Amino acid sequence: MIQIKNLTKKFKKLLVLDGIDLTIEDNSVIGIIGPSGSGKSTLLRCINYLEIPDSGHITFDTNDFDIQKATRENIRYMTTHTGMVFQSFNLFKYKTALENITEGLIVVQKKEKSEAEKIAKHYLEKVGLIDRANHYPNQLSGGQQQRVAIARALALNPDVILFDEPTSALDPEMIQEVLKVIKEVAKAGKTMVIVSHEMNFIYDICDKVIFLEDGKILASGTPREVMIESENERVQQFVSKVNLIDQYNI
Amino acid sequence: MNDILDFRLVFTNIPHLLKYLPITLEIALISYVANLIIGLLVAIVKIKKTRVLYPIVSFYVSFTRGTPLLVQLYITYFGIPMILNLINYKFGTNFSTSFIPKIFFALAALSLNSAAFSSEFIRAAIESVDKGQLEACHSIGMTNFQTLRRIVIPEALVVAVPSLGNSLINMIKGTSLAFTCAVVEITAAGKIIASRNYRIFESYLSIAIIYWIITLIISRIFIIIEKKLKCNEQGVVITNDTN
Ligand SMILES: Nc1ncnc2c1ncn2[C@@H]1O[C@H](COP(=O)(O)OP(=O)(O)OP(=O)(O)O)[C@@H](O)[C@H]1O
Ligand SMILES: [Mg+2]
Repeated sequence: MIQIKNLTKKFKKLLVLDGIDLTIEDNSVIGIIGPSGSGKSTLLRCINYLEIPDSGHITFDTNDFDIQKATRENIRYMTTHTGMVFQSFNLFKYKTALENITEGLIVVQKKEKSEAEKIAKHYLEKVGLIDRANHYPNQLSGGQQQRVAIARALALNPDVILFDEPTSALDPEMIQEVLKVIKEVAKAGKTMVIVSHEMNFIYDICDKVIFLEDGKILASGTPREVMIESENERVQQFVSKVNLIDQYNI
Repeated sequence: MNDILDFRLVFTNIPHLLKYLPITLEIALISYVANLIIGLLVAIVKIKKTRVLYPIVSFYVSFTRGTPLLVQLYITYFGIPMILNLINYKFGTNFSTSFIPKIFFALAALSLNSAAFSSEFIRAAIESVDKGQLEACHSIGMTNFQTLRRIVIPEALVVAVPSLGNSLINMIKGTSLAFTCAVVEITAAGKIIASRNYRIFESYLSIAIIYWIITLIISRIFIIIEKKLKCNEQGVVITNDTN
């Protein structure tokens, strides 16, 4: 379980996260929604320390620390116990699908090459790309690349996987194949946090949804509570607007 | 005719000059490797803008790029012994200057000179690596050093291959100035032959031919390396066609 208390992050003078409190229960799926620039990506990036937060307190199982007094080990724990799936996939471009997955297993987790390959193949199978194991990223479609990226994150078996708009860079016909894979991962009980503009999807798979605006959590609860029943005007506006756009897309 | 240009001599000189090829290659390769290591370190300092080192490194690059190699060779050749003497004088130490092999001055000057230039293309190559690749490394828990070794350097290498080839060619040609440090390599050997038989033009022509052939071979090798490294990019085209 991850418990985040009063997390703040500034870029120069711009306060991007303003006292975020968030609890990520084991085996739960959390959705983060909110308008562009509200700090959704920054929140995810602070959790795995791609950005260094300014203050707050994090309790992640045995790793309990004050952000301002974070040690190297505290930070290392965060990066190695969380996985990230990026909007732009970020596969290693001179490595095959298989090598993309074995890289972390061999270099970070110090596994034998043969064992790493066995694990990698298992996850390629899971995302339905075992026949593309020896393809380089530029030989794969966007949807396939993202599925490899998901397999890469899963293979390291992190406690939490963070998804930052995993389908935003995809052509419409590839979105479903990626959402399907993410849904299977969720069903298998993996703890995850997803930032997405796919409202139906968020509604469908999340246990909890938070609505972020200007670096603050304006609403938090079950998908139903936040996305349908919320009394907050800003939340209502946002959700109805997005649904509208979704309908136009279809 | 024979009095003006002795063509045979141009070619009969070559076997004799080739005896000095190992020295030329030795100077070139050692300086080249040192140049790459120094160039990489300088590039990292420039990218990270390390506090104390950055101004020192900037001065070094600016000075080296702004002065002729020949002058730098003389500066190291005369400067290093002088600095040692000065240290001996000031601190009563007893460093001997005469025991430093002559070749050392050539190696130092050549590698430091070329590192100043290499650092620029090495920096450009490192900075050409997509930020997303670095974030992916971080997200799977790689340390900065692992990221550099496993992803950044290999990817930057592909970008840098043509410049690396040029750098080696320039290094080979630069060794011809090693005579200033009293090292006898191909050019110096040619000069000695010329001073014996007064066939100066023929001697230099022989020297030129040797350098030209070496650099031709090197450029071929680098073209092949470049093709090899880019083969997966070409692979796309091929598989897309066949699919
Ligand atoms: N590295 C950075 N330096 C400076 N400002 C940044 C940086 N990254 C993000 N910001 C700013 O922080 C704010 C929050 O950005 P963030 O990317 O977290 O928003 P977001 O909710 O993910 O938006 P989107 O839906 O467009 O992805 C924005 O105003 C953005 O301009
Ligand atoms: Mg974002």
